[in-house]
Amino acid sequence: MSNLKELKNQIDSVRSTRKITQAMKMVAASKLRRAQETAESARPYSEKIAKIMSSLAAGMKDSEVSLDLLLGNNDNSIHIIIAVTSDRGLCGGFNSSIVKSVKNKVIDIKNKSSDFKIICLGKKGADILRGVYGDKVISAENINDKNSYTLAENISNLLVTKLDNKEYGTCSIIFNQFKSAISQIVTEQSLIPCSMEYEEESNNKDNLINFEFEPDEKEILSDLLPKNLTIQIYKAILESGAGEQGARMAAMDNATRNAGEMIDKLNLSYNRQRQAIITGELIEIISGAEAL
Amino acid sequence: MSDEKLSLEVVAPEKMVMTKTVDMVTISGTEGDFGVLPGHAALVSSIRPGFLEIEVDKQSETMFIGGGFIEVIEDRVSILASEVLSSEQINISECEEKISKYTIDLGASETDADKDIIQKSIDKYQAMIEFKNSN
Repeated sequence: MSNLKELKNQIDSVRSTRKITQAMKMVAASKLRRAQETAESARPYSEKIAKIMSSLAAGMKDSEVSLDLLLGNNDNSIHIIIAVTSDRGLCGGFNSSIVKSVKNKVIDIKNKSSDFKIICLGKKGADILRGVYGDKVISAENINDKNSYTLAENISNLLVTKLDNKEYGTCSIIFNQFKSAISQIVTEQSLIPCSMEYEEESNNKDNLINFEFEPDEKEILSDLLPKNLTIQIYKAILESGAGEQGARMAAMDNATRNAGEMIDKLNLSYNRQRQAIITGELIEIISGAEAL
Repeated sequence: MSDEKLSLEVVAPEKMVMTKTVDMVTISGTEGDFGVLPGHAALVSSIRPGFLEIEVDKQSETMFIGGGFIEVIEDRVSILASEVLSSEQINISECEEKISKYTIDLGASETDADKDIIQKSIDKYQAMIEFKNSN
């Protein structure tokens, strides 16, 4: 009998777990919609600024002015990795895939006998990476949905100051690119030197255009570069935010389904046992009656 | 006026603010205000906090821009603004509060870089008040 009661308890507890995962799935689904909208509406700006950047940079190549923010500081071999993760767990392999690719990057850097530093955005990644790399993590910030632009600005200010002080040479950011609700792609993007996604297409026509600059080229570029840095970080945070909700939704969907399966199995064995007890009792009664 | 028009795109970090076909764009550049008409030479300029005026069919519309960049290529105008506000969205007393707060910060800050950033914010809010008053 006690076994029956245990089974009953187990079924109840799995059932309430399923309720929780189902609720989390729905919360994630509604948050996903909003996060996706923000991420998508931020894309035009970051694409535009990258286009202007590359058309400017194409013109700068010939001139003698070179800016560290654009090309990186080749004298310094320290590489900064920015890892964008989430503040909360329960979202499947979302954070661990970032950590894994940071580790791979670190091995790569070590093979080139260079040094590295890590900046973490998001509590989960910071917890793990601090444990592995200790002091190499120079800064860790939580991602708060409300002020992700300010956060991006702070990080880019930090990067600019550190570059001015010649504390590092190059920098890249690793984040989950939101592709669809069920798939996020771990992406590594070089921030310093500046990655030129649009270089190829703009090279063809923009080389023919002679831009007028107001004020001069160098001044605009030194204004534009930190801005671009901020925007690229901001974009990464937003993409990662949308990806997090997508990952959580998928993870919770799986969990809900698994809980359902488990309840079915438990119910089956509960009913079997109940039936076995009833049969046992019936046999007792029948054999008792026969003995009379 | 000629039949030619400009295609204008205004984008802020959070969203696309507008895409429109317009006759003329006037904007506050860092080196002074300037207008862009169809047939303008290719140009890249930075923008100081100030105004953006667009003219469509003799109707004009103005809005506040919190700095950014403008790019003109072949009658395509792209404006990257850090902030876009309409006149109704600006509250003068709020701006004044911010200015007095930042002025205190300015006195307390030590490095030149900090002072620079704070001064820029003050300039922005002053430009906002100026914009509001002129409209």
